[in-house]
Amino acid sequence: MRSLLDFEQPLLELNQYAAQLKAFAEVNPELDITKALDALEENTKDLTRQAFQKVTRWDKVWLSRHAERPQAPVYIDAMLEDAIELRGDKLYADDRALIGGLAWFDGEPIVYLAQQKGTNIKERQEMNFGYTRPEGYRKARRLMCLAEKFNRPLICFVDTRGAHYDAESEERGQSIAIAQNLAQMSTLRVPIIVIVLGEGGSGGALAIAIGDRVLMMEYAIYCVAAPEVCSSIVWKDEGERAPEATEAYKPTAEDLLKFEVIDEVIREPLGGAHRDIPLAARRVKTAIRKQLKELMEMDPEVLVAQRLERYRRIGVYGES
Amino acid sequence: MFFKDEFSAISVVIRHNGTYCLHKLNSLFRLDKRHPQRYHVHTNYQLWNTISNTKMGCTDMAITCQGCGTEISEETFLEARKVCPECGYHHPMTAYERLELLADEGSFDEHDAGLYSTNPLDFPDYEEQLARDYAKTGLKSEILTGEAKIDGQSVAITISDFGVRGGTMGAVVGEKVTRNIEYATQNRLPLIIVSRSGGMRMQEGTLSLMQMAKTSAVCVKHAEAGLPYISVMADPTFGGSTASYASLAHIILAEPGARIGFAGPLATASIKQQLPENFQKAEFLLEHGMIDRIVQRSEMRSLLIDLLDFCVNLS
Repeated sequence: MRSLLDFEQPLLELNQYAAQLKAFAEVNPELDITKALDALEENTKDLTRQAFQKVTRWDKVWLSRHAERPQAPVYIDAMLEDAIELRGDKLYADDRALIGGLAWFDGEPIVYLAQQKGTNIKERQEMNFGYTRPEGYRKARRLMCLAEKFNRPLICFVDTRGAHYDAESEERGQSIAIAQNLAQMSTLRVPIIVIVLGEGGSGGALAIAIGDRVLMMEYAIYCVAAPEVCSSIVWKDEGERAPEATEAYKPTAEDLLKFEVIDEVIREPLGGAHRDIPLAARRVKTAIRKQLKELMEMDPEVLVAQRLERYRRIGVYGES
Repeated sequence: MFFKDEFSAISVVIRHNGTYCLHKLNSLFRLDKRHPQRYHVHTNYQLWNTISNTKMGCTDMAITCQGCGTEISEETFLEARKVCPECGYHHPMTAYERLELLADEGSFDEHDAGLYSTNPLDFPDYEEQLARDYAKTGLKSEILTGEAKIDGQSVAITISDFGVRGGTMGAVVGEKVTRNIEYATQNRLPLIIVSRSGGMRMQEGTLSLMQMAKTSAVCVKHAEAGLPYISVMADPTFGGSTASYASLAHIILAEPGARIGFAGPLATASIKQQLPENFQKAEFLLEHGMIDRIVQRSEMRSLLIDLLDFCVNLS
């Protein structure tokens, strides 16, 4: 995983200058460096703004995978109160790549589901680099049913490159686990809000992403398959043409808002969510609050009918 | 000699069958680039049969079995519904062949034949690829949907064809499957879907992915109406189709040896783990409890008749 993107390099240098300057000022307290620091900060902002004005879709792919990008647990800690994690699919195992449980949002009880990739090697291995296994989807389905049973809204945080594709996942029915989630979510009688935080990869993401409202972070992507996979399928290469594939199949939040696949883009702090995590979390919280308020007032029948209609109309084709 | 281009099938037919076919094929490939929806004007299905047989290794009149390499005469081959009499290898069937195998003769009423793919994302070369596939197969549409009778019982039926972009699900496949299921729900018909699909249509991006959501939702509505749905998985059924409508049936059947799975062979190979011998074959899924039965092609129709008889409460 790349921790520093090419266009972040100059920003890092400026930040280093600032740190050096501060250290220098500490040993020489008689110096007033406020002006210099302000100038540097202004400079950094300008440069960031410039760099982010021309981010390509491929840059966004890497921003969505950024090693420092805040993952679901960060948002859960910042936004939800008293989260109680519930584990296991009650069939086979507990998948750490997809967690879920009960929590309170603005004092309202909710059920949350969240995909996570891990922040260090140990965690990443434990969470299988965010590739969800059938157990994860079955646990998710169990929690969806709990949400319905107790009539609590469901909030789903999506962040995976895809469902796991190893032999064990196939043995344990990855396709059926995903399909059953799609069926479950499409008729769940409680409000569902989906937030794509980082990578929304293929069926692996969709399996917890059918919602009444689908929100997406500005630099998140949501795609039919990871760009490398798309490239290898379309051009039979080893993923070398992934940047081209990304441009071609348009997986960014901005694109998907246009195609009405998602309902809202949550603006990220300057330089991406990892540059100001508290601000990013506040924005996500505000967006959820707004959507939840609308959905909570709706009759379950209307809610489900509108959700069906929302997905029913997606797809562009000709008819003669 | 086989040419390594998109048109290898033609080159071979020309070589084996002489100038008459050459002329026919030329007319088959007369394309109109400005109107991709018109690519399917040529529907000489017999000719497509010749081509598909040729692609499988037809030499003049004999077909080489892909399973055991035995030479089978064309007549025996077609009579056995493209199943090798020696090893039982089930060779691929087109949607129309499948229809002929399963439905009562002349009972099929096709729906939504006029739906055609567009290029909403401006994906490079997508129109050309579609055009080539339509021309090569002579298909009118990417997937066959409609109403048919099976031993007198009316059913809504969807049959995938692998011919256009490997049967992948884009907006057209998604929409036609959805409409067919909705039709079944509205008219209180049992639903039969025969799947053959490489997965999702990459060229329509996230819009393709959403077809999984769309088709799954209508499956639930159909089931909630108390109606039966039987899914038949033929070789190959992968990705988005398996992970949505194809797996949401009450009864899931598969053909012997059919490759079925979530991740395509490319993805699973990339992990570099030791794979079980029959990995992602119908037999593997049966062993792991993911499908109900493996059914020989010759017995598929009679089993469907029995299942429909059991499921349908004709009141």
